[in-house]
Amino acid sequence: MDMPDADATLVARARQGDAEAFGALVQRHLKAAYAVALAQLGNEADAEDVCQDAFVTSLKRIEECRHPEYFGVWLLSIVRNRAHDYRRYRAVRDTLPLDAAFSVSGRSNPLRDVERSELRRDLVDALDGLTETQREVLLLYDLEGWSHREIAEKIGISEATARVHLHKGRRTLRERLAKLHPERP
Amino acid sequence: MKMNDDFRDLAPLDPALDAERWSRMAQGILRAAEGELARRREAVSPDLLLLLSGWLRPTLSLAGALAAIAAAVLLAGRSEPASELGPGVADALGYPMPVAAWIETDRPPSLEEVVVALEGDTR
Repeated sequence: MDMPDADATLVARARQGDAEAFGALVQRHLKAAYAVALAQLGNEADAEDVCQDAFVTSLKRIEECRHPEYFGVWLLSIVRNRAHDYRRYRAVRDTLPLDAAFSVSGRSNPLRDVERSELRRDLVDALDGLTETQREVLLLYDLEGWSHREIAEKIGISEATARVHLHKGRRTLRERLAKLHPERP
Repeated sequence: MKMNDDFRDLAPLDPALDAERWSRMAQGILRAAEGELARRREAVSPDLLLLLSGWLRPTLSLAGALAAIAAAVLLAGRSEPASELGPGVADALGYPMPVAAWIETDRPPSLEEVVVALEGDTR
């Protein structure tokens, strides 16, 4: 069985304009990027936009990736910065405080609204009650399947702190979901 | 909804579970990156530039050294007196001895020497 190319190899090829290599980087890191963007923005459509923007930015600035073997960590820092900028832009646009902006849809898209299930909508709404770090840890752990060690390394916190964020985040999420649907067990 | 730590509570938010959505996201990124990828393919490879710049310095150094040696040889040749050049060029070309002597000593001949050279020394 062929071993997948290391990030450093894919980054070197992407620098030469190799679309296949860049596509492999996208496939490998998109879910983590999406989890971080969703944690920051609380809106699926906005998270998708920020992911796209972050990946294109990473390609344009790929010479600045000094440790290509850690492309994923570098990419997530771009995602966070882009999400931060997007939140500021959205807050100004909507003339709402940043916290309030979290739960507001970035734009109207009937097709996406139809696609979005009630469960997904509830989860996104419930995530609003968590801190940014809690959301990020929770989404990376549950969506991307990262271990506490990976989360700690890639977002710059200790493993113990990652565990605490996960525990508190889940508890808050549970409480908020219970409030949204008190009739459910 | 039952929430516990034993299963992936947030799985419904996983974009990869919806294959169409996941594919749309990935393809959207690749489409947005097409221009930059094309620009990079057309640009001269930075690695190639690095390779060339690696060769440039030793090549220029070698050329400089060769130029310095050549200049030194030329200057040394020009400063040597004609009499120390060994067998004269004029002599080697078969000129009569008096003519070869004028050429190699850079001295204008006297009238008598010209006559002797043209007619031969009959005395």
